[in-house]
Amino acid sequence: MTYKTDEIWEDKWVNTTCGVCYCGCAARVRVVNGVPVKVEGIKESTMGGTDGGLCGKGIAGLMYYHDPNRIKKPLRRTNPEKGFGVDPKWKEIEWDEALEEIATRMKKIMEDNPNKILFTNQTMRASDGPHNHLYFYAKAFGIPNNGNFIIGGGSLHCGNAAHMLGGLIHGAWSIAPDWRYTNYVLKWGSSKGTGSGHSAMINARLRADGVRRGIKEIVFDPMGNFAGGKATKWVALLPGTDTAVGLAIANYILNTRGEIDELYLRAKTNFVYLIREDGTFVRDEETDKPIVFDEKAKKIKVFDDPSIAYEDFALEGDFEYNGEKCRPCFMALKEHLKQFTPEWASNISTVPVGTILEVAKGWVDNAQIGSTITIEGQTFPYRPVSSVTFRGAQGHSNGIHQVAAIDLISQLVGAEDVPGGTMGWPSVRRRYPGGQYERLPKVGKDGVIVPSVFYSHDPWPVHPPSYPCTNSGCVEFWSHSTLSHIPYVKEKNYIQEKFGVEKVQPEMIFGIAVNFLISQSDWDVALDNFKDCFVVLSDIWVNETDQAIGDIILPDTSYLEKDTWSSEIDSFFFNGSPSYEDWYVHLQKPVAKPIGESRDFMDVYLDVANRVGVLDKYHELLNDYYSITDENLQLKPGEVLNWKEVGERVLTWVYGDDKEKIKEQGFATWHKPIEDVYWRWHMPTRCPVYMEFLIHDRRAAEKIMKDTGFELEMDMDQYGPLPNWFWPTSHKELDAEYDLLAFSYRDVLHTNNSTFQNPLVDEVSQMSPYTFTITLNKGLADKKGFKDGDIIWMENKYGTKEKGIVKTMEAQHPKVLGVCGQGGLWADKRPIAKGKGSNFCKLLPSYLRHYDPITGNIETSVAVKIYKG
Amino acid sequence: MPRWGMVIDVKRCIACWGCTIACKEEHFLPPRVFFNRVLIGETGKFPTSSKLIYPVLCNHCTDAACVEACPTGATYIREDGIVVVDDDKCVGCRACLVSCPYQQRTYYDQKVKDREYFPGQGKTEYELLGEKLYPMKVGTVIKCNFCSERVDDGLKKGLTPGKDEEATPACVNACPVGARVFGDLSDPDSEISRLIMEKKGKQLRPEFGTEPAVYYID
Repeated sequence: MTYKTDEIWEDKWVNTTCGVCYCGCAARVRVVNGVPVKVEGIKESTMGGTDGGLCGKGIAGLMYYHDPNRIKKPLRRTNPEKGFGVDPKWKEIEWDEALEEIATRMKKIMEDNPNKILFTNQTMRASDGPHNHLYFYAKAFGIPNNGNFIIGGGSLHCGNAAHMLGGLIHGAWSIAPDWRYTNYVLKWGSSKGTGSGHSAMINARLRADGVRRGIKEIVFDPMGNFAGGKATKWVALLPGTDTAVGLAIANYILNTRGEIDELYLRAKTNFVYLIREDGTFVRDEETDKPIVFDEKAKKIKVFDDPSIAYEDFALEGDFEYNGEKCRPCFMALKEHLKQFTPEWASNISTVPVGTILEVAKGWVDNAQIGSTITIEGQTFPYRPVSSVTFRGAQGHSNGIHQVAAIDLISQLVGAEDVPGGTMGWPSVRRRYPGGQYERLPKVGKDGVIVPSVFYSHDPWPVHPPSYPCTNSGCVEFWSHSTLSHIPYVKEKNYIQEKFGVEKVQPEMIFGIAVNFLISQSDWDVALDNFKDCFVVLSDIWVNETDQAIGDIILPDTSYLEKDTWSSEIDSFFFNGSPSYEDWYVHLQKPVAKPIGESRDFMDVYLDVANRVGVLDKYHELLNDYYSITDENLQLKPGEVLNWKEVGERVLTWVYGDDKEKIKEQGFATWHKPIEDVYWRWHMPTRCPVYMEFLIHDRRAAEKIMKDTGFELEMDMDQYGPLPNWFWPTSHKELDAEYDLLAFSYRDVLHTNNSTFQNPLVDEVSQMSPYTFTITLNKGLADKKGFKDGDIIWMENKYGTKEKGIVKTMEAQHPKVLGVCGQGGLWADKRPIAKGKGSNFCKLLPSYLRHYDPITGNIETSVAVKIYKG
Repeated sequence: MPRWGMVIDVKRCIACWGCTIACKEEHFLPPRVFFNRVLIGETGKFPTSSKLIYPVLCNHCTDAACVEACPTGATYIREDGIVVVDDDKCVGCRACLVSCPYQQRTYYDQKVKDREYFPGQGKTEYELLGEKLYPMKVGTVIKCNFCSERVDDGLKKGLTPGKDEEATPACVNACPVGARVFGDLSDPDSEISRLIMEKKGKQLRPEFGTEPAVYYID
C-alpha cells in the first residue's frame, strides 16, 4: 500500500470552519483532483482540539459533500395529504417557481398579519452561517420578537433554563470550568470537556490538560458514560434530582461549615439587597433602586451608592426603612437552606449521605476562600472549584431550580468568573485590532448584567408576564423562555385562545435544517400542531419533518460548499474559548462547488426578502446589528446583493485592513488580554442570585390566569426567589407499572439526528456499545429478565412506545433507561439513518404540566414500562 | 536508526473516534474496514464500576507473531520497526490474521472492495479516487502501517515524525485531546520514551511476548 502520487494533478488544503455541529471548530479540508478527501483541524488556531485535532464526527463531515442523497433541485409536494407514512409525491421544480410561490404566499399573509409566519432555525448545522440573523430577518417581515420562532434541531432539550441563568449570572450563553486553573469540578448532567456542549473540542482540549494536571472531577449523572465514565468519581443519581443534592451541599457550605466568600457575596451578588416580609425588595423612594445597609456608616443607602466599600455591605441584620421592617435577602437564604439536610437529599436523589458530605467537604476544602492569584500583572481572587451543568440537569420541569441550585454552590464560595471558578462564555467579543465590531456586556437595572448579545431575547431586564399575547409562542406570558415551548404543547389551542392569540394562528413555516416533528416531544402532537401550515424548509436532505409536512424543500449547500463569512461571527453562542488563550476569527471557505442546484440558505433568504419587498428593512437591521456607521460600507436601500457581497462590506468593517489577509487564510488569531477573560471582576455588576423578579412574575401570571379563567395545571410555587425542591413531572408519574425513568443523553458521535445519515459515523456508531442501543443497569436487566441484544419496547403512560436493543451496563442507575436521543428515523431519502437507534423524543408527553412553568423547558425524563418486543 | 512507537494516554481520550475516522480517510479504507478502532467496555460493579476506553491499532511488535506466521515473507519488520505487508509477496493465506493476537489485520477481497458507503447507490467520487490513489490488491491482507508513507516522505523533507504533522501518523494529528504521541522509542530523550518512563507505560497483553511498540498510559 502506498500513494500513487502520479495520479495526483491537484492537491490542496482549504481552511474553513467545521459545520457538523454548532461548535464550528477550525477545519481544513484536503482536496485532491477537485475531490474533498480528508478533514482535519487547524493547528495554528485556538478554535478546536489539541494541535489541530478534531472529533470523529467533524472528520467524518466529508460525507456531507459526497452523499448521493443530497437534494439537488427544489422539491414541491404534490400530495395535499400530510402525515407520517404519507408519500409527499415530490416533484422537482425550478428555483424561480419555488421562490415566487414562497414570496406570493408570504405577501398575502403579511397583508393580514406577519405573525402568522413562523421562522425556525437550527442547531444541527448551526455553524453553517449566520445563526442570529434570522431573528432580525424575521423583524424585517414585521415580526417584533422571538415568539414566532419554533425550535429546530437542538430542540427544547436544549437549555432554556441554563441559558436564562447563564445570561443573568454571567451575561453568557454557557458555562464551563476554568480548566486552566481549577482543581475541583462538579459536573451535573453535562459532558463539557468530554465531547459535548458548546465549544466542545476547545473544552475537551482544555480538560485533557487539566486532568493531566490533576483536576478532580465529580460527575453527578444517571449514567457513567461520557462525563461519568471519565470522572474521578461518578455519582449515580435519579434524573432531575440534582437540585436536592445541590441544596444540601449549599446548606453544608453556609450553615454547617459556615465557610463562605463574604467579600464576594457583599460585592458581587444581590444578597445584600433589603427585602420586606413578603420577600420583595424595598426600593428607594426617589430612585426606585434596591436599598442596602452600609455597616460602617450605619445607614441605609441605594445599592450602587459609591460611598460604600464592598466589605461594608451588610449581609445580615434587621433594619427599618420608612417604618417598614427589612433585612438582607441573604438572611432568607440562610434560613431557607437549613431544611435541606444530606439525609433529605439522599432520599430524593438516591445519592448516599456519605457521598454528599464527602463532595461538599471536598468543595469547601478546595475553594481556597480568600486566596488570590496574579496573572499578567493583575490580581484576582483564586477559587479553583467549579460547578457546571447543561442539558441533562437543566432539562426538567424544575429546570430553573436545578440550575440555580447548582450555581449557588459556586456563588457561596465566590467561584464565579475568577481564576479556577465557573466561567460564563461567550460574553465578550473584543474588537479585532484595526477593526470596528465589538460587543461588551453592560450593567443594567438593579446592577444586573445585560449580555452583549443574546439569542432570541435578552434575559435582563425581565418583563413580567402580560397578555394578550401577540404570537404563537405566547412569549409575553412566558417571558423567560429563550425559545417558546407553546407551539409543541398539547393544549396549544386552549392556551392561545385564553391568552388572545386565536386570531394569529400560524399559516406558514420558513426554516433551515430542522427536524422538529421528531426531535422535540410527542410526534402526533407536533404533527397536529404544524400540519396545517405551508411548510418551506431548506436542507441538504429530505428528513422526517420534510417528508411528513414539507410543502417546498429547498436544496441548501453543505458547509463544504459554503462561502460564508459569518460562520463564526454570528455563531457567537456556541464557540469561543472560556480560557486564557487567543481570540480567533474563522470563515467558511468553499472546498468544492455546490451540489446540483443547491444554494446557500442565506442567498435564498435575501432573494425571498427582495421578492417580498422587505430587503431594505433587512439591510437597515443588518447595519444596526454590526453598528456599521461608515456610509461606504452600509447596505443601502435599493441595493440587491448576495451574501458574499454583503460579507465584503461587513468584513471590511469588522477586520479593517486585514480583511483580505483573513479571507485568504480563512482565519486569524490575536492576543486575548487577561481582562477579557475575567472581565466580570472589573465590572460593577451584581448576580441576581435572589430572583426577586419571580415573586412579581407570579403575581402577574396568577392575575392573568384568574382574569382569563386559565385552568391548566402549572406549578406556580416554582415562581419563588430562591432555589427550591420540586418533583419533576416524570417522577410524579412513576408507579408500580410505569416503574422506570427513561432519559436521553448526547453521544459524542452525533449532532441530534443529522449525523445519523453519515456512513463514516454510522459504522463506528455500530461498533460503539451504547450509541444505537437502550442501556439498562445490569442488575435491573437481570431482575427484569433482559439480556444484551434483546428487543424491548419502552412505553409511556399515554400509550406512546418505541422499541430498541438492550445493552446492559454496570455504570447506570438501576431505575433508569438511557437512550442516545434522536434515532428511530424513517425518512426514505436518508437511507443510512433509516432504522438506526431509538427515538427518545417521541416518548416525552407534551402536556403543559410537563414543562418548566418559568423557562418552558420540557421534562426530559419520562416514566415508562418496558417489555419484550 | 529510530524505532517508531506510540503512546496512547487513556486518561485524556474521550472516545470520540477521531483517530478511527481520520485513519479511514487517510487510507481511503472501504466500509467496515478499520486500522484503528476504539474498544469500549467497563469493569467493576455498580456503583463503583469504571468505563474502559482503549483505542487500538497494529502494535508494530518487535517479536511480531504475524511476521513469524507469514510463509512468503510478505509481512516484515522494517528497520525502523514498522510492520508492513508487501502486497506483491502476499498470497492471501491469512495465517497472519489468525496469528495476530490483537486482531489487527483485514483480508481485502473482492467483496470488501465492492462495498459502497451508500449501499446500492454506487461509489462516491471519494471512493473512486481512493482506489486510484491508494490502491489495495484484492486477495491480500491489509493493516495499519503507522502511516509509513507520511513518515518516509516527511523524513525526506527533513521533518520530524511525531513533531511535524506532515511526517506524523494521521490518527495522532486527528486526536482532539492530544492523547496520542508518536516518536522514537530508541531515543531515551524523546517525548514518547519520557512518557513511558514517567507514567509507567504498559503494552497490551505483554504475556503474548510480542513486544508491542504501542504503549498505554493512564
